[in-house]
This record gives sequence, C-alpha cells and structure tokens, in this order.
Amino acid sequence: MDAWHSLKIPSIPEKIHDVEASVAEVLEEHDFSGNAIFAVRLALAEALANAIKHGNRQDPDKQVSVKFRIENSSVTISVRDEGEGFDYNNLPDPTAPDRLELPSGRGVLLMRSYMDQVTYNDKGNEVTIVKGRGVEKCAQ
Amino acid sequence: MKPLEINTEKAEGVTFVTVSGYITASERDDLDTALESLTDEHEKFIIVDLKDLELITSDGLGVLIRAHKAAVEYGGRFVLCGLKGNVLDVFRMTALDKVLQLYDSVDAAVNSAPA
Repeated sequence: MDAWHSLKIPSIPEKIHDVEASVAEVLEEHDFSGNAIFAVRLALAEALANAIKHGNRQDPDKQVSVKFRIENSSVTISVRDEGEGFDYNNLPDPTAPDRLELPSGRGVLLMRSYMDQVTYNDKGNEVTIVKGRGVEKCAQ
Repeated sequence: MKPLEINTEKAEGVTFVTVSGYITASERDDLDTALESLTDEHEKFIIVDLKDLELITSDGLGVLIRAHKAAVEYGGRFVLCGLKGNVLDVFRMTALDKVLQLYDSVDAAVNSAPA
C-alpha cells in the first residue's frame, strides 16, 4: 500500500477512538509490531484531540482531516484542523517540577517521544507523524 | 467490548476501581465522572487497578492527576496499581511516576503505607 487514504471527522472527541482503532487495524494487517501500533494509536489520539479541542475548539461546523499512507517500513499520518494554528516551538516542558501536577500539556511531548518524526506546517494547524514498522521483541 | 470499562467496589475501608480498555479524549469524561463521584464523597483510600488498561493519552493522565490532587486535598489517598509495559512507559515518559503513587499489584497497594 502506498496511496494516501483520507477521511474527515467532525470536531467531537467521541470520534477519536474510531479513527485510531481503524488505523491500528490497518497497521496490524501490515504486520507492524505491537509496540509500533501502540505508539501510533497514542500519537494519533493526541493529534486528533489537539485538532478537535484546541484547533477547531469543538466547533461542530469544523472538521478534522486525516490522511495516512503505509510504505514499506513506515506509516505517515497527517492531521489537519481548521484553526489558526499554534506555536509548537514554544511549549513549556510538562515534566518541569512546577508543571508536573498540571492536568494538561503532555500531548505534544508524547507525540514527540513515541514517533520517529513529528513535523508541523508553517501555520501550525497540520501535524505529520511518522513511525517505523518496528520489530517485535522475542519472548524470553 | 466498550472502549472503556469502569467497575467500582468498596471493601473494608478501601474503594477499588478497575479500569480496562482505552482512555483517550473520547473516554476521559466517563472516567472523570466516576472518580469525581468518589473524591466528592471524600473516600479515604482509592485504589485504581489499571492492569487491563491498553492505552492512555494525556487526557486520561489529566483525569488521574485531578483525582489524585482532590484526594490529597481532603487528606485521602489515591493510588494506582497494575501498570505494565507500554502503559507504564507513558507514566515514566511524562514523569508522572514521580507524582502519582504506583504499585505493582492490588495487594501491594492495599498493604502500602501512606507516603
């Protein structure tokens, strides 16, 4: 598979699980490792939550566009909202001692930690994540 | 199977909450409501068993932090147990293993002394 697959969802958080579960199913069919699938589910759920809540501010008239492509050794997923974008270069560190007990602000950290690549467009309303297929650990 | 299953039981002064499935922004409100009902009642010792949790995102982490802070505020205890594999790594990655009390098992949590 190397063609882009596209879908659009309304800006409601309840749709997140459906999208990440559908993508995970495709990754399983393409023999991605369990760890890689976990990482993609996590990062995609974060990207969708950011797009729905912060980008589109849960406006039911705005949509989130998702497209993904599986190549030989990796999956590339883009998530785009209709918002004004945000400054992804100046986010506070959620692991700093004075921010550790805040209930939010960890989404981008998790995306960057679990993906091989995380890039944004200039406007800051589209994130593209890339993850390699990964190798299953041998059972001990 | 629903994405998120939450079961609550009380026994001998401890409130046991078993959470399984997924906690993303899709499910966070359900968990928040369940835990808030316990902290609103000032339950003294809440143990959340996450051994069957398959995925947690920042929204789920935020719900757990909120419940932990609420319990601490009224002098209660809110602890987590059963975390393993990728889910445990999420807590470590975000340094929440330094904020929240984590135990290997329900027994270890029950027998733990207050921090």
